[in-house]
Amino acid sequence: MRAEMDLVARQEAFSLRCRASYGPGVHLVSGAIGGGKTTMALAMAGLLPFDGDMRFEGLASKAMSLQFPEYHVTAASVDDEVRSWGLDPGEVLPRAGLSGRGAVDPFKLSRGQLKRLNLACVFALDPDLLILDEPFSSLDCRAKAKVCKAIASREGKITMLFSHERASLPRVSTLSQISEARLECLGAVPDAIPRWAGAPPYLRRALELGAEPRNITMDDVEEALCATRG
Amino acid sequence: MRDPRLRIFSTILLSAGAFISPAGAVAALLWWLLFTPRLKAVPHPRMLSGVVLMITATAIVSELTGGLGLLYLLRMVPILLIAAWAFSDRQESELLDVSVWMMGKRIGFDIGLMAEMGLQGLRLINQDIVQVRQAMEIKGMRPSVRNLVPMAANIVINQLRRTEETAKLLTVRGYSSGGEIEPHFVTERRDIMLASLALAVPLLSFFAIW
Amino acid sequence: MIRIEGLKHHILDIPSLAAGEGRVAVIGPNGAGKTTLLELLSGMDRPREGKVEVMGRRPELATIGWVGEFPDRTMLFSRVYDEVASSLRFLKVPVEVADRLVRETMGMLGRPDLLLRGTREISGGEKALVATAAALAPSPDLLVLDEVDSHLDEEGSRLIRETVLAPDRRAVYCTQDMDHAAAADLVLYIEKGRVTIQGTPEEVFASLEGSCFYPSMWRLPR
Repeated sequence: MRAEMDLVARQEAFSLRCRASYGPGVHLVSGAIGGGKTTMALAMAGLLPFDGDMRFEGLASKAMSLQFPEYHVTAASVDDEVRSWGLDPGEVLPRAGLSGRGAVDPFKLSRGQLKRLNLACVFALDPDLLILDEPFSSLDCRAKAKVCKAIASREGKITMLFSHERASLPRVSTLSQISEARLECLGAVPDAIPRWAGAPPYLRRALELGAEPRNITMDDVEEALCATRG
Repeated sequence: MRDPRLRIFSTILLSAGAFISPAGAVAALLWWLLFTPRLKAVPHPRMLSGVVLMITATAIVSELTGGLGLLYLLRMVPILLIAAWAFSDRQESELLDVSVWMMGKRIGFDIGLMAEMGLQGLRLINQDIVQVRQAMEIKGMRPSVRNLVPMAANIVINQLRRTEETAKLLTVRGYSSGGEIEPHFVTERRDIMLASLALAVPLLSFFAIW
Repeated sequence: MIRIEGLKHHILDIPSLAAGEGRVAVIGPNGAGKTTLLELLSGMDRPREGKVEVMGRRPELATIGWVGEFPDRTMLFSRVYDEVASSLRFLKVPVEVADRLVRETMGMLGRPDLLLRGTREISGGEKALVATAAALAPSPDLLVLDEVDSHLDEEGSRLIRETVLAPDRRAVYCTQDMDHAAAADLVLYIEKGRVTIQGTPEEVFASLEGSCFYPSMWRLPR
């Protein structure tokens, strides 16, 4: 299972150069707001025109979660919204923390709730390639932790995580960053960590303290700090 | 032209000049040829060519049935070209300045503000449409008549929410009516020269029919 | 700076609350009522029951600087200058004074160059900065920020932290970034409409230790 690309994606006047190859695992793409994360995510999902090549090997299915969950809504009730993804509300709603809210108009939900609903749906589809554009925005830290768990459970599949999250991150396989309209693949974790300009503050602090975390989560950082202090 | 007031003034004069007499129409066409980036200033060449085709057809029919079709064509072409130039040369932000200059700090400001917000709304609706279509494609839904209703509902609801947000923002920024502003215009020497020449067109046109 | 008495409004139920001068961070889970509280404090909504005061006045009579969650979708004008000056113009501040305040504000934020740009052509982080400048320009009695940082990257949120939420400001902000909340003078933890924990960051986070609401930087040796 592999996603390979060598292309220039265009969105209005902006164009982004991407050359990368992603296998099974979690791939975090970071970068400034408006820097091109969404452009790359949309291009990978096949929703934007591009010049160049994109090849998927051994991929039977893909799905994407957009940054703003309200755009996903196409039904007048939460139940029907889940069904519009071809899923069973009885199975998805408890996972979104929305049990018993099936008859509600999706637009009556708060943005955080709508985000949870949308994420529960795309995780339930369990696609070979899952593209998540800012899955943590509008969520509180408890919901973020659940998203991290759901990402971690996708073993053997490709998860593309486009995010600028600074505290709740899952373990990842590779790091990439977008700057100046270019995707830069930093390589596999942990070797890539010191090269990561967009590292969250806690990770940067840990590196300053001489720690060598095995991955990018808070737990990894704490473990590494324990090791350095003997 | 940098000064939007002189641009509007010139547009009106040139159109009037072109309308009054064939000589004026030729002069207006000449003005367009000399002082604008010509076809580069046409925002939607395909749309304009469609309109020109329609006018030409009307002119031919009119000419064949004994009317003054060719004269009509001669008048309409410069008017259209100048309108296209004025449209492409405009800057969105002038709306507020011109509106206040024309109608004052109360009504002028309110109208300018509404125009700005309207433009902003249109742009955002455009973005909404793109995103809703992408979201539907993710679900494997094709744009179809059946899917039109949820799509439209989504866009309308998003727009309503944004209107509410904007209204709150206006309240909290202390808006009641009007605003203290001194519109600022940059007038280049070229603007004055072009506007003066534009003024000559209806005058010439007027004397030509005499 | 803020006084609340017997407030009952939608989900909110706050019998009494007083906050002195400084920066107040409002934290808590989704749907706890954080935005509802911020809207009351900014005078966008009136309490159904009880009293809310900002600097001893009803919020709608005070000058409030407000920045919402999606500044890029709520720009009123197409020129950055017009956007930053909007509040001053609405309040009929003389043109020369307004011009000086607009330039001072953008200068303080370190980006006077943005004044010559259009609101369409600038980046997402820059838009948040412009919206914040628009809120700051009339020197408001209180600055209210509703999760502005959730759509900002590290660079943008650092700028907000250092300039907009500098120690001498009067501000209320809600955030999901606990490191950001830890910089406040007073922290309010809201759950299900009630302020369940309040105090200095040290006091509040001491009772949240072990939960995900604990600042990530505090888990490292300082």
